[in-house]
Amino acid sequence: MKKDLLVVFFVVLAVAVLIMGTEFQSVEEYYLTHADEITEDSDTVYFSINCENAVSSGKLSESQLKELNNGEILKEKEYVLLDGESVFDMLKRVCRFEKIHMEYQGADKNIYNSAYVQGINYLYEFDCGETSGWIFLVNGKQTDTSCGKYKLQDGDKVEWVYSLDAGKEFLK
Amino acid sequence: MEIFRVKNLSFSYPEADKKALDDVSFSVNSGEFITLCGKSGSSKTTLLKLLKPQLSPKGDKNGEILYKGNDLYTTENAVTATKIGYVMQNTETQIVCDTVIKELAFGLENMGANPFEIKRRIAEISAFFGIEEWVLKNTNELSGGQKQIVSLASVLVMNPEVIILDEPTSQLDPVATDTFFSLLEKINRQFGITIILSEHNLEQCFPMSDRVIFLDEGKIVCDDTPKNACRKILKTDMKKALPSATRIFENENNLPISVREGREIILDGYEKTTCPIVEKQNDNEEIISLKDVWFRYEKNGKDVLKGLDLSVKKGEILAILGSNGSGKTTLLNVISKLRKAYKGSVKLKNTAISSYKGNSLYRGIVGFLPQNPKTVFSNDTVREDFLESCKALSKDESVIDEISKKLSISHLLDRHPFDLSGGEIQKCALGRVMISNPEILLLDEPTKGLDAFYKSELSEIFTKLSEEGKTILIVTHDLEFSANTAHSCAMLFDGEIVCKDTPQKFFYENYFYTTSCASIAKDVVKNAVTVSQVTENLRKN
Amino acid sequence: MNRFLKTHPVSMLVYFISVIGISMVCKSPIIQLISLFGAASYAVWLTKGREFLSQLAFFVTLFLLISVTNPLFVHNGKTPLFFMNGNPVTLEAVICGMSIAVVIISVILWFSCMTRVMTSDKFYFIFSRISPKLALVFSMALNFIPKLKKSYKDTEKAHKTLGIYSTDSRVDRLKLKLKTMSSVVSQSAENSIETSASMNARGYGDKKRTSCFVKKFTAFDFFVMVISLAVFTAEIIFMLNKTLAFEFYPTFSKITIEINGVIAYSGCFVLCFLPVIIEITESLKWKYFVSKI
Repeated sequence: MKKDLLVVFFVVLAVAVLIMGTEFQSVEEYYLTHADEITEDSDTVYFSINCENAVSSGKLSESQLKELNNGEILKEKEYVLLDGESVFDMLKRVCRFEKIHMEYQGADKNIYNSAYVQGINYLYEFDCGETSGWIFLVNGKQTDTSCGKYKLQDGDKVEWVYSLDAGKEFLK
Repeated sequence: MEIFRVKNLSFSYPEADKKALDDVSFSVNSGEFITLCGKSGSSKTTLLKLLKPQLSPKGDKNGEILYKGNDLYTTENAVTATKIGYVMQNTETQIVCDTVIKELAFGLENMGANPFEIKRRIAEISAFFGIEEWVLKNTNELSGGQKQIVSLASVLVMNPEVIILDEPTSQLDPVATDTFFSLLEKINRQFGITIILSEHNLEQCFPMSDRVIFLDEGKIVCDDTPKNACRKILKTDMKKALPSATRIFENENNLPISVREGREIILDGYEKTTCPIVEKQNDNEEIISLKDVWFRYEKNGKDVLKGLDLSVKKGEILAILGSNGSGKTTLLNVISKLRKAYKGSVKLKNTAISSYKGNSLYRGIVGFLPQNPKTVFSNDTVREDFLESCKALSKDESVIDEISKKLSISHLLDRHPFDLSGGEIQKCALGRVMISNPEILLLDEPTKGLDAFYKSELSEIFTKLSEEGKTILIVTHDLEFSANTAHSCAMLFDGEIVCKDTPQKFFYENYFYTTSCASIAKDVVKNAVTVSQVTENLRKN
Repeated sequence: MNRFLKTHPVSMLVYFISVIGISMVCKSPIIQLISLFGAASYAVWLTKGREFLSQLAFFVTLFLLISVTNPLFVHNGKTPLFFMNGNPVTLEAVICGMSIAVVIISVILWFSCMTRVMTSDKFYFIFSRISPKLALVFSMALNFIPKLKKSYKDTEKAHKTLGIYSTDSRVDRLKLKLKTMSSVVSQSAENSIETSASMNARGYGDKKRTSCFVKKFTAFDFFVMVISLAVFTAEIIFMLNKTLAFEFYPTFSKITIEINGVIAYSGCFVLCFLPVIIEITESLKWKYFVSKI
């Protein structure tokens, strides 16, 4: 009886994965991307990922610290901005190009109807307490919109930072 | 020494217009064995409960009850709890714990006794009763007789001076009843523990009683030695309940009250005669036919029915007798399609039982009265239950009146089923079963817990029903009832019917499993197994 | 032979609490595996192998299921195997799933051993130490349940043969069940009045209750208790000082063999295999005694 239930559950799970149109990619396929060459007339943004405050908080495990070094995951660098790209699209593309681990919740998976970044480079939300997590600043300021909806413009400076207190320390 | 002295005790229940007990006075001396008898509803239980303060009913009480010279109701609780033991009628409900050892320890634990003392007492009692083997068993696994012995033992561990028993054997089969009574006698004779017993099985308890108190409608009619009490009871309608020997020789100077005394009288002074065998001619068609029926409850379990054959004709009253576990109840379940035989054929009215689809079997063919009549009811009054049946079976409501008249239960219809006495609820349950007007009535122990009065009433009802063409199958332990009522008796042993005969032949040819009348008259009146058969054929030398 | 079965209930409870506690809390894969094999070997001993083998298929399926489910929801980890909808399925998540599966299976096994060894009588004994009244309630409940079942069966039978409810219709079958229920409830309410009268008659509530169940606390019971408590505290200390700390993400922590670790593992081994060790030494002793008869 117990066994049968388990098998049924197993099959249902497998079918669900297939029906939901899951796309499988090998590691090589996934990271096989090109960044466009920066030319005179291409729009660009400056992009950086940083978690210095998480590193210095003393709340991370040793193995995490090993991966994070001093907290500078991506030094500020100029990238070509594609037409109509949001902050999230940009992050996804940059992480893939730079082979940085990133996990997100798709726009269809949460109630806000917007992509949500859970973890970058093995550093996850809540790792430094209940109010900790990844947020982004555009030109040094937080925005009202979520990363999946905020459209970037030429010359914008995007910083992904790890906040320990729901973004309060970045309210300047 | 005087244990109890009851002085001018009257008692009435709240909102009752009649007194339950009316000016009752008697005393009980240490070491006495007292039997309290009376019809159902003669307030036997009320009187017994008043002797146990923890159980005394609420109501208006006048008079005095002295326990060893002091007022019973001001005596310390701990004293009355231990020194006055009380065993109830219902084997199921008075057991509190899940294992026998906990049940035995229960009372002493309540008294806060020292654990080592408790263990020692339990060891002592189990050795005395010879129940060491079941001490670790679950109480649910015990038979009714064993449960009652445990109840008695769990009272006895508390070292009581007097034990009060309220119809303790009414739910037991004859063998368990014998065992229980012999234990009681042993306790009384060997340890001088006073016993006050209410009982309607007078055959067994009269010979061992020192005194009999006969209660009628809340009054003491007589309080005397068994023999003298019998003389008085013979003049009342309680006569039916008296031991067979007493009823046969009611005019004898030295009134016999036991089988032995009865035999002594009959053996000298009466000539040998033969009672004509009355065989009820029955040329009707066969209505129940079982051939080579095998049944077991579990796949790998034991066979309960082993190639059983049975044939019953329309209008027959068949009593199926046999010990516990011989498969009597299982047989009824198989006939009523509640259980399915894995081999063999079961035919009712010449049709295989499996061809009765849905519940067509239960609508006019088979009626089943289970051992516990309470299980038949589910509403607040008997009438509601009857109406429910009428509606579902699309019968006219006049059926209720008809049946109530036949069973004389019209006055009970508006009562709650659980408030009725044993005999009353049995009749009402039978009434509900009869609404579907079944041709075959299957009855599981219908006389369990009933007094002689209700038994003879049931016997009359069954005879009337059989005359109307109903077939009645009774599974029972009650030998006297079968001898008086059935057209034929069958003995079930080890999953088979080993003999089927008219009651006269059946009981006359049995030596031990027989009625007390047959035991008394065996060597003098041939083929006589009931009181009337013996008295009609008795010839003085 | 079943020596461990005869251990004092309190020692036995302490043993199972510590072993299940360690299995549930400790993240170290080595401890988890020791616990799994300890539980499995005792389960095999208790059921003479057969029952355990029949359950093996269940445990294997459970194991696979949990190890597969974890990486579907957790994408952390440094070694991606492949990507699913843009999220990585990593080796770390798969191994972590396996570790969770091992913990769940070993806890199930420990509990199944416990229900076999800690029979209702032993719980009754422990309850009676805490409060004799609580123990009585426990015992009454154990008495009541089978009675209720029997009463339900009898009542259902009786109602079925009344011919009111059609056996073909589902609605009617449900109605029959409801009617039976209501009848059973009123019957048992009625019966409970008599039961409470029987309790009063034997002096319930007059004085403070005691319990007649006393058990000697032997040196053996003391030994089991001390080992359980000692190992439990030691493992907790080792967990706090990070000897037994283990991380799956972003990548596995290294397991180094050092003196502390060896003590922790061997302590856990003794605890988890204690019942089996006891049974084996006892049966060897028994064989020796038999050889002398």
